[in-house]
Amino acid sequence: MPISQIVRSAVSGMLSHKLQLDTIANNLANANTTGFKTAKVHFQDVLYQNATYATNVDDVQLGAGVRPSAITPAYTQGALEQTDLPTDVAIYGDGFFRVRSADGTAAFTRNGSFHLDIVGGQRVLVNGDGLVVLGADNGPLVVGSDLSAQSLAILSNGDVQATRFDEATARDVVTTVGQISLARFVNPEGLERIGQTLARATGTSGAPEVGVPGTTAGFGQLVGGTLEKSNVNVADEMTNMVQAQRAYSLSVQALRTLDEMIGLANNLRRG
Amino acid sequence: MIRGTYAATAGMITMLTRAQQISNNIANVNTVGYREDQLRVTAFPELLMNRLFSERGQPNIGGLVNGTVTESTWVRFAQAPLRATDNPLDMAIQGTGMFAVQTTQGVRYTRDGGFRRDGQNQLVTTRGDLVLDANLQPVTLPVGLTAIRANGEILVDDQLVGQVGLFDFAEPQQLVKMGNTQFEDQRGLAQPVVSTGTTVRQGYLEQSNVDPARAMSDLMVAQRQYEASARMVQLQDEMTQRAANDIGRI
Repeated sequence: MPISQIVRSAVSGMLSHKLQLDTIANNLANANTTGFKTAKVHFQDVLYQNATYATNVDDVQLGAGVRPSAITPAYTQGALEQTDLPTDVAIYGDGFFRVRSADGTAAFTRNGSFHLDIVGGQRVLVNGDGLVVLGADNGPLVVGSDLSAQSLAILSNGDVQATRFDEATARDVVTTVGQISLARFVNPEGLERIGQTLARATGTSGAPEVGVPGTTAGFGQLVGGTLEKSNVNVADEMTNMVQAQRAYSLSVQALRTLDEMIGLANNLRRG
Repeated sequence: MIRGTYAATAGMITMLTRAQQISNNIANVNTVGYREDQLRVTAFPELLMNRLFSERGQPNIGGLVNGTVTESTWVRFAQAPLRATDNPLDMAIQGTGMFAVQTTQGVRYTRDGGFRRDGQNQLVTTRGDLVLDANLQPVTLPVGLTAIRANGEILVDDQLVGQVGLFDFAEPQQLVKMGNTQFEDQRGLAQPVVSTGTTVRQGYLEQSNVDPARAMSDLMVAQRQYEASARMVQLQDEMTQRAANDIGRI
């Protein structure tokens, strides 16, 4: 058996647990990122081969180590934190905000840190990266230039309301500017994460189902003036990190031992 | 003497195989549902030895074994600890049973219960293989609040939508590891039957049953036995050298 084959398991153990450490480091780095979802590495063992020098060839199987089979985000609810900014909004329950990404297609996010910006001559609701938030009619949520951000309120069903003081009647007049809609997926773990806490639909995730927050069955409701924190559990991640680190050093030790054994075979003749 | 060299070399080969196997176990110390490999070592067939050049013919003086050989690998199917996760579709098996999954190469069995829905509402593994029920049919579950009973029944919004199949084996050692933490009944000898005593826990994953401390000590033992065999090869070599070069040189 070639030497590269002999040490393959040990090396695969090192590489796989290095990936796990990287993933944990990314989770920890984003422990305070709004709308971030923690990710987990799932391992599987690698194809087995039959050893060729045994009496009963079929029965001696040697594994070739381990490989990561999937990195899956956990779409559990993050804690809600009050910000009192009227354009901040959090989803409590299932669903994603829809934004128009740079290439014109819809992208999905749990990050509801929105603000107003001028896009294409219109004052519209955008996310932190300036991407237009899509309303129920798949269009942008246009807010008139006479309305300040402070006058807005987002209701639990996604209605964006603006309050204006009417000089003539000396009363507050409430108008509905638009409605934020949510998208939901059969398999959100199958979404492709494209950075900036954005995700894109894939064949695995299924097509997005668009609905009214808090009204359409299965959709979460919106909470205005709050943001959803990341769902990273720091204590959990630290435990995982210790575990991954130990597993890494175990594989290093196995590699070292195999190396010593091969070295011994190489030096047999010299005594 | 040559015979002794072969015996010692066989010991080296066996112990290198064992070390490779242990390093595979160690690499899979965090693999969900992984079952540890073990090696069954046996002696070469015994040779009966007869004394040559005796006044009384060639009397039998006992047996001689020419070293060891790896006979087979076997899998330790012992239960591993469970670990809580946040995924409602994660399932951990408690007991002897296994899940059945449909792969492109046919039905395979696994202890890895890290499941999810695919785009067509079917229950699949992380690789996308369909999880099967007791009749080896895929399990379809609509989106909704999912609860899984101990017997594998899946309820979505309090409606029974299916049941994951759990299988026991009369001869589990006949299962062949195929990678991806899957086993296959390649020779049709494992005799799967629907399990009755196995329970499933929702929101948990069963970890690997490799014990790192024991794996490391086993690895050290294998290394030392390898070294001892290597030393024997050297001694045999020195003796052969004496015989070839020194005897009759006076």
